[in-house]
Amino acid sequence: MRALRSCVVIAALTALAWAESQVRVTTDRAIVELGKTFRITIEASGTRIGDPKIPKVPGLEIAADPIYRSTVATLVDFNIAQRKVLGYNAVARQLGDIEIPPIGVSIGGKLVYGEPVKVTVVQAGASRTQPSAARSDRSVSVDDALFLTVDASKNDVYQGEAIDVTFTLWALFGSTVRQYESVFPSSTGFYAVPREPGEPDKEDIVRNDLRYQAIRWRQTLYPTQTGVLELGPWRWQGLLVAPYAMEAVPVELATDPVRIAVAPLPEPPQHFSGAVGKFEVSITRDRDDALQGVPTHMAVSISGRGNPDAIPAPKFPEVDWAYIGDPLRTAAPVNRAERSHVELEFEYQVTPIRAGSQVLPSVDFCYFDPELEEYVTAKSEPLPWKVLPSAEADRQILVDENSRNTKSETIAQQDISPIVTDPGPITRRGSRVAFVSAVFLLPALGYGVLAAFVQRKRRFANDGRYARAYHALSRAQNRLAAIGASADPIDVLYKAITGFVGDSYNVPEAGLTSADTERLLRERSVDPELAGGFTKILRMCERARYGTGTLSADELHALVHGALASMERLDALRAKGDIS
Amino acid sequence: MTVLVTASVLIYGATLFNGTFDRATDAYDAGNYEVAVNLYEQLVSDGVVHADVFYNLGNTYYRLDALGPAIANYERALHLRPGFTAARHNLDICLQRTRQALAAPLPPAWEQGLLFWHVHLTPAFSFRMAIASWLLFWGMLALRLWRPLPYLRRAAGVAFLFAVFFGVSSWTKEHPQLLAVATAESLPVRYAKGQEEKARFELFEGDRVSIDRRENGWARVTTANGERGWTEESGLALVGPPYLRPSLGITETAGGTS
Repeated sequence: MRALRSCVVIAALTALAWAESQVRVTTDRAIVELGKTFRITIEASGTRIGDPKIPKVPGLEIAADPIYRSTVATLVDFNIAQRKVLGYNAVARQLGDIEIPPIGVSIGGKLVYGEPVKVTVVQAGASRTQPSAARSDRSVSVDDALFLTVDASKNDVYQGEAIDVTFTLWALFGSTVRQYESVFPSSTGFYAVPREPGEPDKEDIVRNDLRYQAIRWRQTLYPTQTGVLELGPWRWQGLLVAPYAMEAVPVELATDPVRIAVAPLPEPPQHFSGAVGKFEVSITRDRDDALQGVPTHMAVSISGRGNPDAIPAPKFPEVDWAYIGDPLRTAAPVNRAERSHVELEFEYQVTPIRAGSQVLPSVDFCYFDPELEEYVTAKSEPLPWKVLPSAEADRQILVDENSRNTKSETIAQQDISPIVTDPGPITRRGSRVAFVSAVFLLPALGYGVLAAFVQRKRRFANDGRYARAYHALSRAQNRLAAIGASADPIDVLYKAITGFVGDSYNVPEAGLTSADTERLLRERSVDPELAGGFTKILRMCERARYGTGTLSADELHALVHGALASMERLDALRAKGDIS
Repeated sequence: MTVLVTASVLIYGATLFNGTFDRATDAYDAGNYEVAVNLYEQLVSDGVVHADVFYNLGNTYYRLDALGPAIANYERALHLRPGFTAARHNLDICLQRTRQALAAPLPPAWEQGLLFWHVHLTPAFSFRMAIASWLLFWGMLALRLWRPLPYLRRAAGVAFLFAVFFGVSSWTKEHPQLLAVATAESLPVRYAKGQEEKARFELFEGDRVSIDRRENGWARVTTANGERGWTEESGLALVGPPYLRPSLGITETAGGTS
């Protein structure tokens, strides 16, 4: 599974790298022997990669055709990206330093150059006597092309001391490995961080004059037992394609066990925390002052080198002015280049109980220092704290201002006040919704009604035309109601009609004749039939008053009813606005 | 007739409640605190909202060594009557007995800013003032219809402002931030709902917190310094309203009203 994950990561990184055009020229060794063949490898990545143009280098014979070539294509951003690797044999013909100038390769229609490469040519055979001598292709075996190493930073340690272990897979530059499986050694007797080696890092390294790609996995081990512990063999198997070979060969590798002598810790002091390494302790807090009864936070940081999981939360000395809770949060160890470096933060909630200038005593953290081979106690600085009295404390009057700091003791010694025995009438508290709604709405409604009433009253007082028209019908009805008691009922009927018309249209009532009434109603577009009714009654009244004819009681009654009906009809039409 | 019936019901109710109150007081004096608690709680469950009842209930819970419910009832009494010195005194004694004397959460910032003046007012006073100001405002407007006296409009504006402020004050006092008091000796507050969730911090008996959400027996609580998390409602006594009885294992039938 881990092998598959590594392959996926490598493939993804490779695909990203191929996204841009580049050329890389390397040799399989930096020092070559005169007349001996060495390898020049040209790697080109990009799209549409052509063959390189091999330059002529004085003192160097480079084969025109590559002895091997490989091309891999992949899809990057919907473009086909290629990676082409070509190997050329070369033979040095002169001693000294030779620089191979930049070699150009056509990538995507553009000529891209690699960096120049420098080789040092020495006499044949001289390289075997010198540490930096070059080796021919044939001298590079499979064992040299691919091998494993396990390096422990220390082999003699104390129990709990950090040991940095590096697992390195050395692969000859230009070689590829496939279908590999790696089994890391069991860490029995150790506390391992991480539990299994994580993602590797890679680096090109020259070793024994050969250029390798070193793939490193790292792990930090903390011995949990004493005695001689053994880190078992690291086993690796897979297929290797060496740069000088055309076929993959199966390879099985295993390292020798690494033995580590673990010494027990000396007799620990009583306050030993259990941590082994080297640490510093510091305290930070939210703010310098605090409010009585209001929690605030402080953080104790422990940084240094050691096992993060063996560091317990520091214990604070008891203080009588504050309650210090258990640590709330613990930060994860910081991932730094120095693997066993650790930074832990323990956050505490502090609730001041007593106001005044207070001091939080220093916190002790006792650990074993393997370098000094003794127990060391790291201390934080004492922390002054200004605690302000709370608002709640200000409200009560139990003690005078001068003795506020002793208030808690004073209160603690007192008993509670006695119960109330005479509460007055106790009633159930009902819902106030209806009451509140009524109180909220009724004044507004009352005001609305009152405002309308006042406005109407003012209009009657100020608008005579409106007032006359409004009361026209009622005045006429009152007049007609008194017709029976009148000595001249025809006059009463006549004046009731002319009065109604005069009031309705705000014209003087006096002097209105049947002709005036007829003209007035016609001007106001009153229905001719209705207007004719008024005119007819008025003319009958005029004839009765000024002519010889008289009206019988029945005729008068009929005229009154007719007049009332006409007036009511005209009033209704005017109220509806059908006529002016 | 209706007035007579209403008055009769009120007088009978008052007599009944006062009778229960007196019996509870007698039980308290006799040292029968569980009986007293049940009688006082009976009054509360019957809809009585009275500062003296809550105060006496707080004292009774204190005698039963139930700090959480005692603090909750003193808070209730002080909410109804902020100047209740005896309740303040007893509350302070209770707080001194709590483990970390945690301060009560402050009201929301807007309330602290706008209604700083109403802290010492009773809910009843704010309510009455709101109604009086409202009626005065409309009365002044009505008077202005008849006779537009000088400054009447401004006076009506002032009355309206009073009505708004006291109305908001009254509403706020009727719907206060929901407070709760821890009744369990130790109450973990977790990052999320669920027993399996990691504890964020711990409350101790008598610690006061505000509640802004309640779901399926869990409450999201906030302390005075803004620490927030979820805890089980069963470990809290609500200050209210609503004025619910905390579950403490006291037999509720003992000494109930007859």
